[in-house]
Amino acid sequence: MEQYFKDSIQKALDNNNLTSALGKFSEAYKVNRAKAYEGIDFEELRNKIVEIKSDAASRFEELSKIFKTNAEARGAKVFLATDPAKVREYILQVAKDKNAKVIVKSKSMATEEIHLNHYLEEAGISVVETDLGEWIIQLAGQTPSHMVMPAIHMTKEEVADIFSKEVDERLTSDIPRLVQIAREQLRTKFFDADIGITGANIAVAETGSIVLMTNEGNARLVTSLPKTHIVLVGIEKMIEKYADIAPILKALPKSATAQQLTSYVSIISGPTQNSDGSLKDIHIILMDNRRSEMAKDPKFKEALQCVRCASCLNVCPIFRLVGGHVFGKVYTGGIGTILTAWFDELKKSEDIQGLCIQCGICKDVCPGKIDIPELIMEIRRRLVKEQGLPFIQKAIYSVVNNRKLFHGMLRAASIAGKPFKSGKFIRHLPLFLADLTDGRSLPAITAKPFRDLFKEIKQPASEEKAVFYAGCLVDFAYPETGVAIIKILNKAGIEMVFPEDQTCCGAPARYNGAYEVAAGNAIDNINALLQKDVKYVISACPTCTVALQHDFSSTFESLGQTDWLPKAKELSEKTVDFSSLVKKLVDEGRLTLKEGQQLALITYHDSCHLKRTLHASEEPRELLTKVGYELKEMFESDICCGMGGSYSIKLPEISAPILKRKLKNIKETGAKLVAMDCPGCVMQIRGGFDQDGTAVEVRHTAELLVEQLK
Amino acid sequence: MVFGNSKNKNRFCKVVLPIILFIISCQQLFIQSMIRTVDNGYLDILSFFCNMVLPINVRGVQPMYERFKGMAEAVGAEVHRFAKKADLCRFVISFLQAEGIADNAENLALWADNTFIDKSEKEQLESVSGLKFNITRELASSARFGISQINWAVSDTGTLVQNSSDIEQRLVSSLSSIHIAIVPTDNILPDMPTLLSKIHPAEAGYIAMITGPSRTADIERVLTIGVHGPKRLIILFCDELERRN
Repeated sequence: MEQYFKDSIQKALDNNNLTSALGKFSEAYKVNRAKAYEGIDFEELRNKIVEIKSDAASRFEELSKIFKTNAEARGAKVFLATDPAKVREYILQVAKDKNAKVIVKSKSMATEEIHLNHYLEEAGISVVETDLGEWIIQLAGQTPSHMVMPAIHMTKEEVADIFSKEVDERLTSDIPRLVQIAREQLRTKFFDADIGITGANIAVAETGSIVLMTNEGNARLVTSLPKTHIVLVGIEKMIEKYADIAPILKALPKSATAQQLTSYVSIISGPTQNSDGSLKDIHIILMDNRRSEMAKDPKFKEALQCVRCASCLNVCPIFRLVGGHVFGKVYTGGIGTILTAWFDELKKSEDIQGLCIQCGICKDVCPGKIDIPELIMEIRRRLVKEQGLPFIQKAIYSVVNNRKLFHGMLRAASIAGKPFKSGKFIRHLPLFLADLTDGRSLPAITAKPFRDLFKEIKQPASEEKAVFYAGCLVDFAYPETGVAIIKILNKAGIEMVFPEDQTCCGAPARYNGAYEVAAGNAIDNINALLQKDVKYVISACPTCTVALQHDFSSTFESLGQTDWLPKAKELSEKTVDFSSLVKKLVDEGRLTLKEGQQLALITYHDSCHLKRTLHASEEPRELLTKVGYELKEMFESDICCGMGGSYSIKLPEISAPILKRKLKNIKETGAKLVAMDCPGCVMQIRGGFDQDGTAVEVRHTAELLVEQLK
Repeated sequence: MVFGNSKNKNRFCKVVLPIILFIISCQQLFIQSMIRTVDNGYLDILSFFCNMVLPINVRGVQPMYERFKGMAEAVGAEVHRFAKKADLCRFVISFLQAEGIADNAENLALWADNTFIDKSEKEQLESVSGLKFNITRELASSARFGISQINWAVSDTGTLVQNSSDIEQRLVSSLSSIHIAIVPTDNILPDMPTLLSKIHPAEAGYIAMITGPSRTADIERVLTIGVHGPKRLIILFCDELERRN
């Protein structure tokens, strides 16, 4: 990660206005969005949008031609352009033909994408942004920090200062007054302007229409007062049918700002009369800029289902800390990372893709049903393929790929860590490693890993066998979790097998784009875990479970190693997470829990992979309340704890404040015990409470249940 | 009482019962015809009931009107309903006068296109000082009030929909501080798909949807009303106006 990028992250984190405004917004957004979608089947709605947009993406060329024919039949001029330079030249030529001095614009990401304002200003034309947020940013000489709320990082005092200079009058920070100033100042611009430039939220091929949505009403004035209207629209906004705008109008405002509908929606289909009786001159530019190339990419075509609502920004635990500036100039957040990799270049996304912690919350809310985390992983994979791994990572993975060496080093680390150990934690590390223990203690590597303990456990023999997949953390840091699981399953009459050759699940390598390494891990594990007489493969770590159940196949598919797919599928079918299996055994009457007890007040933290990939969130809650724990839900129980595997090592400055928020939410429940199903989360949260000094016990669900079996 | 003696019983069977049966069957026929004609999937038991008791031009509309009113008021619009055009005109005049209409550039009211009102009403309105029917870009740039006619209302979002191909309709509704929108009560539609089946780009080059007044939250996320468009949106439904779309 480049130093200037690290610096920009630090700058954003230090900006209290930004983090507090974004933090408050994201909290309110979650509640308001849910309210806006009340009574609506979101899955059905977004499936419809996917159907409409993916069909259009597969026929860009054809639909663009149909659009051109229909819009021109209504009197508009349509220009199809692949290259941003050609778009800029075309617009400048129209401006010159009209002898334009002033251009007013309503918010358009496509114009930002091609840096149009700068280009027109260099040609001596005054370009005025009319969306309030965009105008503030333009006057301040800054760039937007959010796709929908461009000036969210600025305070009213800063806005008052900027406006004071503009109107040459000392203004106070009274917001309605500031808005009134903008109204008056921009009114004259609307009337003076020779040309109005807009983007489009939707383009409709069958009618040659463009659809514009705003709340302020500026797009209505931009399209009504100047005699010439230029529309710049990316072809991903194209849909075939007029009737299909309904689902997009339904989802976009709800997902963007939790509104039922924006204040204004304009559907413009060809020129109408100006107030002097002349006919408006409408130019519509359909811009490709690598979109049709994207449509042909089997992975990335999905990203063209985006309706630009920015809900992936609004729910992102990272975005609400750092805002949009760290992402660069144009598109920001999760989808922005993907668009930057394409519309700019892959290399430009190298730093920003690293911001994604892979918690998956964005794909749950995306109205275009885009698997944003998966596409960001694909960017990582392609970057690594193109540029190779950084030296240090390469060194680490060469170790991880050699199980004996890797485990040998972990055992050595147990001894090496001793000088820094106090109790079960490492609280401080020297030198450049200090960041790792800033806000969170690390678990000391256990002297006796699970693989050694397992040999000492006496199990009743049984016909029914299951493989236990420990994963690195249970094996080398929390063996007691593994022991608990063996005991529980023994009670249900299942004998556990521990294949010694099992190794790292490959998630660390995969999440860093090192798919070849991940594939090596996958092959080793398939060979170790796939045993004939075994019914289940069970793990106490959701990330490992996801690796075994989903990632092995997907890694092989990405690399074209199809000969391993049948075995990966076989393993996937046997793999199950701890809580889901125990819930099933209890339901089948094979396990009996002590019921009706009065146990402590607890709260439950949802681990990202368990909730959003394995879809298990009720199972652990049901088991824990069944044995008598009183459950009090924490605020944002399913927001990431900031661990994210090696993320907390690469970006500790981001991981730490996310953890801090999680600790706060846990503490606010008043519970002195927090349960979770992931040893990674246990490591993060337990380490956090150790440094925080609050006496809250952090336990894996298995450890709590083992004490409550009949 | 009715069955007190055989004479009364006879009269009941021959006269009263047929009348009751006749009324019931008429109602049944009526309900069935309503189901057939108003096939928008939105009628429920309540609206059947409303159909029986409300005047003819608002049958089936009451629940949608209530829903519209709730949604529009939730986003800051003001909603009124009038049975007669004359009532509506009286309201407009008294509203404008109370808000300070005057014959100077800043306090004018501009009334765009007026197919909803007829000659006698227009004459009455023209006598109001500051109310104008001839609209220019210059007058619209400063006029405080804009009055326009709306084609459709969409109840589930509280949205007004207008064929705005005529620039005058857009000038008065987008530049004024107070926009007064007149809508035939009969033209309330349940939702967006129904709307899109009623208004098509082939007939309307500029379709405008308006949901509440102009708003922004661009400074510190504080909701502020009236950025570029109207600060107040007054929606006036009139039962007497016919469908003219």
